[in-house]
Amino acid sequence: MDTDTDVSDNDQTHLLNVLNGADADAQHVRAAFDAYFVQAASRVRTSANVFSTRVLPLTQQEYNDSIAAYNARTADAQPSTCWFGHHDARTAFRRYAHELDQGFNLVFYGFGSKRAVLNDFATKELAHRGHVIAVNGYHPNITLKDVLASIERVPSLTNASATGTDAQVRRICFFFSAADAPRTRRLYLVIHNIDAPPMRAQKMRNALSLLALSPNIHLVASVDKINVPLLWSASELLARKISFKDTAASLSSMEGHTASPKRGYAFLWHDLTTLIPYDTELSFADRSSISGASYASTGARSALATTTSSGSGAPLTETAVAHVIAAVTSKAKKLFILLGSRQLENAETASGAAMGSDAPAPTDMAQFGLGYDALFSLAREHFVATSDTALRALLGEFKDHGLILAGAAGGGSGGGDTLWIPLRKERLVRVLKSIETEAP
Amino acid sequence: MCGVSLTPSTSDTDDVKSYTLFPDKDLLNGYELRLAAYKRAWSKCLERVQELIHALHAPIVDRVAELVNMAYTDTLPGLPYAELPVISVTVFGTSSSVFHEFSARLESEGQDGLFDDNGTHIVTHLHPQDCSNLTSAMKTLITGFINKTDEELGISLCTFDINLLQIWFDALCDSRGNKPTENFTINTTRLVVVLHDFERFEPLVMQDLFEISSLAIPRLPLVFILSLTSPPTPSYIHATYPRSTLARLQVRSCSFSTSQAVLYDILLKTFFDVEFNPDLVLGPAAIEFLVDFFGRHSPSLDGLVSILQLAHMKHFEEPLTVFLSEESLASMDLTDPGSAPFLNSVLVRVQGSTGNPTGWRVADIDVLLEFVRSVRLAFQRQSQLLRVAFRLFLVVQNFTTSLGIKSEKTLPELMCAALRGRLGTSYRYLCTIVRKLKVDQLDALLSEINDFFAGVSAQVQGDEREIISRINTARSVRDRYSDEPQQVKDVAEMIGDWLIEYFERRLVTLEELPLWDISYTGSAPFPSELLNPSLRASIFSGLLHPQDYSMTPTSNDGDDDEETLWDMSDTSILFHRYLESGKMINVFDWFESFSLVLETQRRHARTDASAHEALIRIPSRRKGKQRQVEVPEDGEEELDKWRLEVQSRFIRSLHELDYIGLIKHTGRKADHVMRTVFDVPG
Repeated sequence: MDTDTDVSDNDQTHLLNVLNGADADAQHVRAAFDAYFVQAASRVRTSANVFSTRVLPLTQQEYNDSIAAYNARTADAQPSTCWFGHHDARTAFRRYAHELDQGFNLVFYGFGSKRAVLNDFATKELAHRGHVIAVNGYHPNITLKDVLASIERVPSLTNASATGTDAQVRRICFFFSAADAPRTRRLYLVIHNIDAPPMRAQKMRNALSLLALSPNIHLVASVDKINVPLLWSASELLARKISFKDTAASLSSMEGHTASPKRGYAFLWHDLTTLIPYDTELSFADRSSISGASYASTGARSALATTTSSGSGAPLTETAVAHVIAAVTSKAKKLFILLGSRQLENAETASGAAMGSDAPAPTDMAQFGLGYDALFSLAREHFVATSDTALRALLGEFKDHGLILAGAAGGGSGGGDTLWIPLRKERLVRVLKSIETEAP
Repeated sequence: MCGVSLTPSTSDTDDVKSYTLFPDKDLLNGYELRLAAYKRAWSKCLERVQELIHALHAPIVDRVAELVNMAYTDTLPGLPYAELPVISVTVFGTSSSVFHEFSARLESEGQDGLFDDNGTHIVTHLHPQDCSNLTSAMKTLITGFINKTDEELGISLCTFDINLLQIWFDALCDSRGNKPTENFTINTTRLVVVLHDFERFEPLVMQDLFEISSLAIPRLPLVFILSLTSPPTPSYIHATYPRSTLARLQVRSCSFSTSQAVLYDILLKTFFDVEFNPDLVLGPAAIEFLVDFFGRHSPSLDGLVSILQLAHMKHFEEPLTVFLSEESLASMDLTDPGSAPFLNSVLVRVQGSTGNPTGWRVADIDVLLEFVRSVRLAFQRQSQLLRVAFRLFLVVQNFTTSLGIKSEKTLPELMCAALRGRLGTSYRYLCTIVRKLKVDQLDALLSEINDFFAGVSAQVQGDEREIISRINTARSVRDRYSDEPQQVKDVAEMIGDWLIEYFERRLVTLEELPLWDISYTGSAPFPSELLNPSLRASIFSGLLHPQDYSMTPTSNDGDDDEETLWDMSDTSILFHRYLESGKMINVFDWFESFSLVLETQRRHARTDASAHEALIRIPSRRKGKQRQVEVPEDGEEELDKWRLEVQSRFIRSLHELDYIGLIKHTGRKADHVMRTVFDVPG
């Protein structure tokens, strides 16, 4: 990293190298935890730059557009890995299915989205063998009720009246392990991301660990987190499926009243490194924030969900501006144009002045805003608002929708509040142009 | 949210399931034949192992049943209040099936006739997941009992009210004809609660549960069985629960911990038994993995069974294993043209193993099958005799151990050495000791060997008549010259030599027999990553060396890291930069360094593209001048687009790293993230 003004991380790396070299000289064998102490021993030296102030957040639209353009450009260079080993995909699928038949459940790990491959597995191979339910565990709002409800959509399963998840799980177990069940009565539960936060909930895990050991229910799951083995205890992982003999005995005596006490997963692990980007899994991530995907590992509420519900904080889009502008009076529209064009002028002069000094492109629009007093006099000149109250009324609408922000930024001309439009320069130009063309 | 839901199509024939890993040397219906052979072999092995496990569990099941029966009758006299009987069972590493056995045993206890279930106990199970708070714990406990029978209670109480359980129990006693009297010892029914994974229960909840239960006894004959996995000393329950709770409990404990000895015992009785002939002989590689997994990772009997099953499953993917079962031999149609590749591979093997260059023709299929049968029989016999010899070796070794001469090798090491035919030094050493035995010691050894051979089957006795008759001769010689020391010495030396000769003949590697891999896994490695995956290593190698996974191997592997970095995927680039930074990463710096790499990437892409164009236009242009190809300058709009793309790609990669758990947002410094991984192999 070699940004000119910053304390670079190269020093840090250099320090590490020196330490490593010293270790090698002393013929020390470096254990895994030494790496941690080497890192923790030295003070972290990073620059004082703050990403969110220096880089304007992306809108969802901008993100989608540029990623789509990038994907289209590199479509032929998409990663294609030989995840199926030395054989072809069909053999790999059938081998997996054979392992399922032999009383194991499968879990797939490795870097890259496994969703497409598992869906392929489900449609091409498992669909011939029994009912298949695919669960999108990465969906932040999925609940146990949803999962059970879709399992209950299997024909002839929903004739019972019992409600409550416990009863449902028992009924499902009973339905699929009844001794007189036909051969095709098998359930393949394909769970994308069994390590996602909603799937880690205690209730979900209870139900899954019960279902997983039922002889005719087969679990096919994918995991992505590096710490996923901590989710399950060794005895859960190694527990074996209940054999038909046991179930017949226990079920005939209990009539399905009590769930079998055995819980666990009987997992076999397979490496499925596809290197495909996690676009689907992260479709709920808030791309405007650097911590927008942390909900997917910590289980905190999705940042996207919070920002969209509160209305403020999410970056402004051009369409949002267009909607608001279309709904306000012509005077208000004029005010917006006034402020916008003045803001652009300010930005122009600033960038012209800074041309020589090779500064990074200005992104923080607050410094180009207009002081309240300046705006008021401007509005009076153009007959937009003749009194303070009228101007405040006009601004109120924009402030409510986040089109104009007010703050005590120092860059504005005049004292008091500064008002500015939180849009990138080029976007502001486009917005103003479109308003002017629409206006008579 | 739950995506696809598919219903099964009608075709459920086996041919849609069949697969083969060796399409160039497999039969057309090889999968079905091998599946049948696998099922037979595995069920035989599984049955044996389960029998052994059951036998191992028997003492503890008996003990628990006895303790449950004794609860409330075997109490200390003069107690101020009744104590709640609690049986803590330490089941370290055993399979959870032991609790099935408890339930089955307790629920059938006291069942005298067909219809008389007066004395049976009623068992319910509690899991820590069900007991996050007192209400749900009580509810699970009470409904667990009530749902077991169909008593009409005629009253509605909350399901977490212990009085409901009381009413239910009274009704139950009524229907069973037992009047609930003050003298509770008459009633032999016990309400048994099994608490699974007791260490994971919330102690505060359990304290309350115990208190409530202890107020209801002895009218409600509750008995708690705790399943513990921590070692018996220091006792978990005594260390965790306060004195006030412990005072209400009458704790009795019994423990069953699987040690290496249990594993050795099961291995010995399954794969090295004189009487039991497994269809599949486990090779040294599988045994070594099994012992390692059991000792190092998880001493679990479930794991043991799974490993054995996986060894079977893997072995029966080999096309040759169709020969294992007689039925498939009979039903095989080798004259079919589709079987030609298979036949070819078998013939190559047969010729290789017999050294017979005359060759077989397809007309000789019967001869071939006959040969396979004889080879298979020979293998079975040989492996059985190897097992007998190994057991005899153990008999002699145990004898010398009792004399105080210990062996350094563990049992599985000896097993593997025997299977590999490398036990020479061990048995030579043993026989040297035998040669130097004293009179009474020799007598004892001879009688032990004699007993051992008396216990084997008649067929084995027939095969081993040479060594048996030698032992008998030695015994008779020894009897005749019982008081001549020199004679005794001679006999001892003779026996030593004979034993060496016998072991040399029997303890040879099975891999030298023709077509040994039909029923022997040999030194084929066990697919250990199925049970013990290296998850982190896999993710890191996917990020650090994505080219290793690609279908088309890249040619520029000679380049160093920095030069190829721009050629990787965005997430890999970001991860490389991650590894170079300190504990905390400034996101802006990260972004800057990332965009530098992307700039390089873009420049390369452009140079390549324009060089390519130039090459098409003027094919004669020299290679060295390609650098001078002009790269078109960007317009303002282009530059904006590029900036957006870099930011989007950065955010996408950042989110992916966050998603797989490599980043922690601490919030300690503005827009800084923390690394979670510090050591990366490779």
